[in-house]
Amino acid sequence: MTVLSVRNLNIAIPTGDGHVHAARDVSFSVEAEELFGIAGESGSGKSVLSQAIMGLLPGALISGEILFEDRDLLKLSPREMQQLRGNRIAMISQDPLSSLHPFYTIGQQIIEAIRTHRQTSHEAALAEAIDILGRVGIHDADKRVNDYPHQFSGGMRQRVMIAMAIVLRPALLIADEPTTALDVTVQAQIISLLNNMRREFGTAIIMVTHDLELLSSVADHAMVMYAGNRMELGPGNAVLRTPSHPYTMGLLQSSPTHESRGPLPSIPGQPPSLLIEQKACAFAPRCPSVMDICRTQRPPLRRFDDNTQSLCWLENKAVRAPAIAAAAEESAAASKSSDIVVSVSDVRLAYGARSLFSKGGGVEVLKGVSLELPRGTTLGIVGESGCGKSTLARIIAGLLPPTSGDVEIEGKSIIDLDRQSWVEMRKRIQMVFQDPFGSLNPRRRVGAIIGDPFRIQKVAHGDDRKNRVRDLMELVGLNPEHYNRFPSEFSGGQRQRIGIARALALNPSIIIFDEPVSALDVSIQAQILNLIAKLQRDLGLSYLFISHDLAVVRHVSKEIIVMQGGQVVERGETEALYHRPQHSYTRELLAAADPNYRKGGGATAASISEALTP
Amino acid sequence: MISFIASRIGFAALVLLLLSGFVFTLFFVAPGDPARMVAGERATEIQVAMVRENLGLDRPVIEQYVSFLGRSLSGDLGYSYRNQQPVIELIKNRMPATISLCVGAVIMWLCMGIPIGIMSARHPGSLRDRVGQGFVLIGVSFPSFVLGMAALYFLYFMPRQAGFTLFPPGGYRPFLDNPGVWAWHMALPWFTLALTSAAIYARLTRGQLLEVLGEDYIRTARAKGLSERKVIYKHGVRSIFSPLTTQLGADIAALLGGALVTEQVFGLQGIGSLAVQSVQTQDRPVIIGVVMLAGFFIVIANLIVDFLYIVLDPRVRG
Ligand SMILES: Nc1ncnc2c1ncn2[C@@H]1O[C@H](COP(=O)(O)OP(=O)(O)OP(=O)(O)O)[C@@H](O)[C@H]1O
Ligand code: SF4
Ligand SMILES: [Mg+2]
Repeated sequence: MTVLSVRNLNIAIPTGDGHVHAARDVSFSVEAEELFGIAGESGSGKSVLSQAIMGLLPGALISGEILFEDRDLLKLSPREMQQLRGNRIAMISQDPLSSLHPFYTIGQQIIEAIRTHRQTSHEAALAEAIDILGRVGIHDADKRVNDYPHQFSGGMRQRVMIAMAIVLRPALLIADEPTTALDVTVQAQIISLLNNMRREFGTAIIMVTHDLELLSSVADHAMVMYAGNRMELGPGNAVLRTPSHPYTMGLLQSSPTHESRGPLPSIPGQPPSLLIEQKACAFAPRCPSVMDICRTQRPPLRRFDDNTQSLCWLENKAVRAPAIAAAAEESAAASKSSDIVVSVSDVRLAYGARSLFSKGGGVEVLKGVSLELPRGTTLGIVGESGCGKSTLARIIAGLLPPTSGDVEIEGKSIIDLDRQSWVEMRKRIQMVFQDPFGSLNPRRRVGAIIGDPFRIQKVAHGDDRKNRVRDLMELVGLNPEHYNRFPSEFSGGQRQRIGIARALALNPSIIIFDEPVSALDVSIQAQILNLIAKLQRDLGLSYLFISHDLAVVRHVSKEIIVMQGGQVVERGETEALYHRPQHSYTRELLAAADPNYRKGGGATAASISEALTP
Repeated sequence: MISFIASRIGFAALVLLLLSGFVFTLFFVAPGDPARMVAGERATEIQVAMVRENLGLDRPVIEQYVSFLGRSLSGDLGYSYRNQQPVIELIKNRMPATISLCVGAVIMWLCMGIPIGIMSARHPGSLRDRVGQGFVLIGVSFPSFVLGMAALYFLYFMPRQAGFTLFPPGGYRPFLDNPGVWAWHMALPWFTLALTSAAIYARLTRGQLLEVLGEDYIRTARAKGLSERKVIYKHGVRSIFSPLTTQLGADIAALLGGALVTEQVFGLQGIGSLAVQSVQTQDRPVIIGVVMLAGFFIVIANLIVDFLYIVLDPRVRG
């Protein structure tokens, strides 16, 4: 049975600069109980599409049809739409940390969802809320209903969001990047939870994501979008393993899970502006198989034997692009000198112990960590969230004093620096944070934000500064013409780069990357990872690279240390560690990052979650 | 939690102590001889010396300060130099007018500013928003005494010329005598004191609410199928209470300055006019008393704001 059928959908959003054409002639349909994946780079219109289905795009010009349970949603009154939302069609969004109201308990929020659509007593709704929380894996649900969102971890909050979305047994659930903000171990649990829920309740799921690996293991059907166009559509396996369209192929090859080391074959260039009318193939400027006709005429729809459909002039399925000439000359800088730029010895950190009002011992976050970073190389640090990775980074960057132990940067201890040398040291070490969204002031223009380090350090003025900022923007793949835009006018992926540009501004010698690419699309991820590697070669930079994603860390690091519970449990050369892990926790992480693991479904996920619960 | 509350109260006490020391020192080093003022222009040196001894002004400063502190704690703020009345009595007489004025004005500005701000934020760029913004502009550009004068002219003087009384020109009527008459007399002063702040709160509410309405959890609320009313009021407005409360704490501290001007314009016999008179006549015990009282209320108001903050935001509660 078809739950949702979208036909020839066009969406234009009026803005100050003109109409943003976020969807162009998009058609697809979703069957009951199916998991339908939508993939595509940042800004390709995935979120706009899902919001259009929810009826949450006020002011947009929408044409075409969105048939849901045989009614055209575009013809419904706002009141009728409101009755469907949350009831027959539900949504969960990318960031579970900000999607729940901080001032209401989760029980209140779920009960509100129930009672908005159903006449039940508060008690009955409460019982139902507790029941559904139990089903999504919240232990002691009867007590935890009275807790506020901030008392739950990210993964738990996403479970709560799922509970709230499915409590009324909707026919369709739209999950817009449900796992992007989560740890890889938790990601797998959430995906298998969604998978179970759709079986249990017969809910069709539209899953929007840029994680192709994840989609290929769970999606029944998949659609790939680019610049508002439906580039490819077909069975999940076919689309995501043997794609027909050059764009899908490019996306797949940029994925760092690929067996290769060395530069990733990123898709060159930028997605086109959505403001202009398209008369040709939108992908032509970046396509490796581009032909003359592609630049002048709109491509036709090709259908292939494996049921994939592709919007492309190519008559055959796309082929793998030849691996980009491996510029794999092992970084010269790395081998020639072996002096140590960062040396951490037995660093410990306990929270709470020194606080004025709290009694008793604090929580020990770091329990004696030591490491060394040779100049010009990259040291990867992996571990699940809460293992102390970010805390360690902040200590090394001099932002947080350790309780005991020592940190030496280029031979100088940073404990008890005087102010002047501290300022100097801070120029040498820069950080790229996990969450650049939070650190961008929404009221300041992007050019000004990136120029901040220049302003603070009083280097480069006027046009010179402006030019440097533009160069930086280009370097990280931002359009320099967007100098005067505000952070809110960039899509999720683009905002991430602003933070990276800012850290690169002062040409530091050491950069600490704290989950720098976790929120980026694979193709952009690849661009950034390649950029990071290029900078290292050209400038002899040294990196500490923190991530929960082993595939990414493996790609960039010479050596890796694995952390668990504030301790280093394993360290070693990247390949050695990857192929011959010694510690059981390392093996778990490897299993979680392995694509085949996800296909295994719930069983493995459950065993991992057991292993992780203390 | 308990320790947090205890530390806030301790801090409040410390602030009051420092304030008392500061005021005391300030008036001790001020020019003019209080003993002569009390004794009168034509008193002899001997009479002045006697007065000085009676008032304890010949003793060491520290000793005077300690005895002042001791008396203050038991509610004795000394006697006015000018008419020998107990300072506490003077203040008590003036309190009702000032409290009526301040409390009423705060309520009025909240009731005007917040709804106007919400109206603006619901439809940014619309006609209603522009009307709201216009109100803000007018409100913040007129000093309150100008407003007071204008209010008097248009709402009292002009109707009087036309032969009827719309509002009284001023003066205070006790609440307990007749609440209606009380409110009628207070209406213009309230309006005068409240308008600027109402504009500021409208602007603040609009800005904060616009920001909140862009949050992910508001989208979640819409995705649940809540009505727009519920989305705005239950989910949006609930989130701006905390910043509004913070602002209110700061504004209450500044409120007495505005109240002083308003009391003058409308001839309200309140603390403000008492302060003005006592400064003009160098009546130190009264000045000190008034300053301490003002400090006391500001500190209490901020304590309440701190606690409200805990009540409002579960994240602070931990
Ligand atoms: N409310 C809006 N007003 C104007 N333009 C918008 C609006 N929302 C999105 N856009 C634009 O529409 C295009 C598609 O954005 P969308 O958020 O759907 O991308 P996405 O594929 O979800 O990207 P991401 O992976 O980064 O979430 C982008 O160019 C974006 O700038
Ligand atoms: S139509 Fe041409 S440019 Fe577009 S994807 Fe196909 S081959 Fe590439
Ligand atoms: Mg999106």
